[in-house]
Amino acid sequence: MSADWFVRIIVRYWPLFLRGAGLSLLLALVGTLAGLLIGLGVASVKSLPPGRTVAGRVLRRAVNLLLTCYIELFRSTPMMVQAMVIYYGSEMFFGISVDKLTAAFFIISINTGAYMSEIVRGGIFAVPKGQVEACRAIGLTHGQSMLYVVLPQTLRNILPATANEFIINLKDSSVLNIISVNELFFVSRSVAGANIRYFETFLITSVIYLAMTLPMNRLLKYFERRMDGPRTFNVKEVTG
Amino acid sequence: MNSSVIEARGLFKSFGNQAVLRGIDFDVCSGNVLAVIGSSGSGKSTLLRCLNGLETADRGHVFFHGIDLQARTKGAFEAKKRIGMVFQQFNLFANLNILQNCMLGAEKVNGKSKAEARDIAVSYLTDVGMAGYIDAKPHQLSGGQQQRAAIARALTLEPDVMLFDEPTSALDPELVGEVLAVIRQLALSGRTMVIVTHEMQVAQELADEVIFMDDGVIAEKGPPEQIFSQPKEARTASFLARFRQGRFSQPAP
Ligand SMILES: Nc1ncnc2c1ncn2[C@@H]1O[C@H](COP(=O)(O)OP(=O)(O)O)[C@@H](O)[C@H]1O
Ligand SMILES: [Mg+2]
Repeated sequence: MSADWFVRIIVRYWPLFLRGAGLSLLLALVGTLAGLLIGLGVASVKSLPPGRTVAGRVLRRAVNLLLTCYIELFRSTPMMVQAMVIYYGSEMFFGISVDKLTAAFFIISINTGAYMSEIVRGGIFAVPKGQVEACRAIGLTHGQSMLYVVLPQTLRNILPATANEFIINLKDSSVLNIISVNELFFVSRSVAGANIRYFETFLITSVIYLAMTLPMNRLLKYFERRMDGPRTFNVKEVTG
Repeated sequence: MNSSVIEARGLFKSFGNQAVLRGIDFDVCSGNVLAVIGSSGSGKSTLLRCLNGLETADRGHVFFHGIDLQARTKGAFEAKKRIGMVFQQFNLFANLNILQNCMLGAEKVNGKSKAEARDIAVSYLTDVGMAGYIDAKPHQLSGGQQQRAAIARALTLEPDVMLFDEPTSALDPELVGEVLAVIRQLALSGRTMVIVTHEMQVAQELADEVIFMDDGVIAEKGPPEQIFSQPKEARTASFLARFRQGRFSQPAP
């Protein structure tokens, strides 16, 4: 090993690293946001009040079962395996050949969605029941109370867990190299292989991952403060 | 001349194998204050929750201006909007400030414009002495302030009847007064109210009728003068005696 190699690799390959890092970041960002939306949808459906008619109740059961299957399936298998099955399976069974980038975004989103569904469910559960009753007492519908009272608090509750999902996604996007997506790990492997310099290359790669994940804590604190609003309030002069 | 706003008829409610309400009948007349007293676990909260549809009775009916609230009809849903509820734990919406808490119902339930909703909210917040705190989030306020804001929130829907479930039980003793003052003012202005309370003095002063609940039934019902000074039932007398011995406020002699 020599310091020389670090410089050489960086000088020669920095655009490649940059693009790889960019794609990893994008995969993590899109995956986390799409996963959050999936999670909000799944958890909202799961928290619907029980149906009033027999048919409604049966339908609810069926939908809930389906959603549970989705969650458990994706949480209980490695994303790398999911990538293989979805990427090659889609071609084999449905005759649609998705390009690998689309497949990558799809896989990371649906995988994160499974985790986020449970996180959001916990976040909904953490909103005090009394507030939901107050919603009903003032005549809000279930949808309105979710929209104006429950989900805003849920989002605040799950912010740390969502940030955590983002960090996990940033790192785990590396497993998508299995379907040859040009993310940071894939790029690093190519660079390392071309020069037979594994240690040097991957040390650089580590630093790039670190540089992307470490600022997340600050970003999280920033968003938390923004969502919490001002720490103090001013008592207004009451006139009339 | 006094028409019934609420009529409870033969209410039964069980949780699992525990019968919590075992046949409850009463009327609340327009402009009257009904106080519900009784020991903890006697079913007071469950009764109140049946009155606004938060619980559904297993048997019996609650009529609001003659509309059956147990029915799953549009009429029943609309009627429930005209029943205001104040909770022991305030239950203000934590994500909204005080003004937003009080605008939500007027705007989203009663379909007022933002400006109208704001005027309504500010007017009721002024009535309860909370107009200065419209920008505060609930957690930034004392329990007494939160409860007064919660009362304003319920009033913004311009309800025909207000239900209070132990509105001062979660408060520090020195904050009870400010909330009771608001409730007293509402009662004196002729609002129809049902109030579950351990403040016997308040029940005695404000109520037109007092219900003593024991083990899921109305053990005794009568005007406050009679209930508090000449209870007919031994159960009522012993409940009141326990109360007077305890640390709770005593009804004035
Ligand atoms: N949702 C519920 N599930 C099961 N038991 C309940 C529920 N709500 C109330 N109870 C029970 O019903 C009884 C009466 O409760 P409650 O109406 O709150 O009485 P009170 O308000 O007079 O103290 C209590 O024993 C309580 O444990
Ligand atoms: Mg109670």
